[in-house]
Amino acid sequence: MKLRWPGFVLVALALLLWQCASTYGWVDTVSVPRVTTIVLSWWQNLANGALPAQIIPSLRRLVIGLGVAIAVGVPLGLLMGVNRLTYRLLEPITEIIRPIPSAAYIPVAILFLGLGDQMKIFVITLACVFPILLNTYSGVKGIDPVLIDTGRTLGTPRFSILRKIVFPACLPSLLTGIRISLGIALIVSVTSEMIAGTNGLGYFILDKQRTFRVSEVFAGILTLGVLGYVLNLIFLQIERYLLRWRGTTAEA
Amino acid sequence: MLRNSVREFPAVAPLPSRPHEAPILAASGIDQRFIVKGRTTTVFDAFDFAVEEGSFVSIVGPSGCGKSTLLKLMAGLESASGGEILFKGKRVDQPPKGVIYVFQQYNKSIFPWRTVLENVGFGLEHQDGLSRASRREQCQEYIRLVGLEGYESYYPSQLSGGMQQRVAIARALVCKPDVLMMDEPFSAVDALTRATLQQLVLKIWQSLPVTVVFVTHDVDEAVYLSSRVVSLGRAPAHIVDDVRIALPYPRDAVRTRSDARYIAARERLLSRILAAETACPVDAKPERAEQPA
Repeated sequence: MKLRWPGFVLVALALLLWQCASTYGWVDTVSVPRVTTIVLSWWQNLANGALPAQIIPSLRRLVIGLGVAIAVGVPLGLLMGVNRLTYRLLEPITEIIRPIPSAAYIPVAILFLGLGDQMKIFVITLACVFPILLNTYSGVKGIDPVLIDTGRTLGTPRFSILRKIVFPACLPSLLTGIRISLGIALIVSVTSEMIAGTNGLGYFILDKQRTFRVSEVFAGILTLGVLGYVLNLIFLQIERYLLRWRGTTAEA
Repeated sequence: MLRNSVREFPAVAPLPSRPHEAPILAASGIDQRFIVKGRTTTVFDAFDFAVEEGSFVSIVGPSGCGKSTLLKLMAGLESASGGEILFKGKRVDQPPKGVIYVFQQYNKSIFPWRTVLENVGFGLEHQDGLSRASRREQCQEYIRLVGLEGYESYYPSQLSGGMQQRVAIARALVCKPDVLMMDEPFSAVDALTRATLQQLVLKIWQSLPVTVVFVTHDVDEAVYLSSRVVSLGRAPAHIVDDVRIALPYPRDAVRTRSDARYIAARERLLSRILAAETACPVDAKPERAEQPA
């Protein structure tokens, strides 16, 4: 966990190579600006509020979309895990919708929900719900029957078994599902903003590309990278807290 | 009730350590069959078995003879194809309050996300009218009894196997069961831990009003701990031998094992088990094995 620096050294080396490539004309400087130019442009856009104004709506939709996906996916996954009828009922529809790339149903979502936030949140939720649902389901399926029998012999009512045994036992798998969905949420929110956006980071990047402000395009991409990294870091902290009972901390 | 009448062990006069009363648990006419790939395996065929209140009964037998299944049936964790189980005269169709099962796989039975204290208190959370404080107090009492004081806030992953099984035992005892079902509880711990856990179980049985039904494949363990040892044969399960162990309690980990009565009981049980095994080898299609006269 502690030994992070070798990874960062590699990042620094890559940036250095990039810088040299642009500076010495190994690549076309117009389409690949120098690292220093990008960072400067990134900083300016942060300072003058242009980037924050795009980060906030993106982040807001991402959080709401993911939140709804958790609220829907977790109970459904639990239900599918403990009840065979529910599983048989929902499995086919899940497996049909799940493989469809989210970009494909954005046009349909626009027809029904317009170009606004509702459509984007819907699309994020739809893309995020399946990894959460399926990981919750497989987490429930992976529970050792001994654990359930322990609850039964200790006189635990059915619903309490679900709440106090099944749910915490599938929590590691459930959290893995949420972590996968977190990445997907970022992708889908940017995609939806590029297709139908008036704000957000996806809109920002596409807008700058259309006006040939290449360094700002890269600044937008850099923001996405940092945002994804930070979101994942926050999530890992939450996960570590919730799974603090696990003896050996799994490498993040 | 019993197919085989309980025989007093000949070497000694009956010396019950506690008054043995009416059966607290009785299985009668139990049928249990599994169909695997079209072949029917009969685990139980009109099987009868009873446990007297206050006794320490061990069930020994070869693997696959159905001793764990019998325990699960009596604990209400599985249901039989036929026959009935009575606990205190009432039919068992789900895990009855008052019978608690302690699993062999303690590492799968313990709740890894709960601390020792939270694990022990689990069974009390579903009982009404218990304040947090009194719950905690009761938990502490049993944590002390199993020798885990100071470990209340530890998670199972921080404990050894023997300590995890102690947690499981305390978690069962805190519910004040009438019957404790122990399914090979010490088969997965090392020999020394096993010896200390045996002492612990004896101490618990002697100090609490609890009946213990103990499944083991180890005849020595069975004789050492029990007031009665029942030896099962397999396919379908039948009672090969049923012996009262008239050794006095408290038992001593060293001296009891050199007692002539201990040695005799052990020899008798072992020789009958081996005889039954020879008469009814694993792979043969078994007819009902000869019951000892």
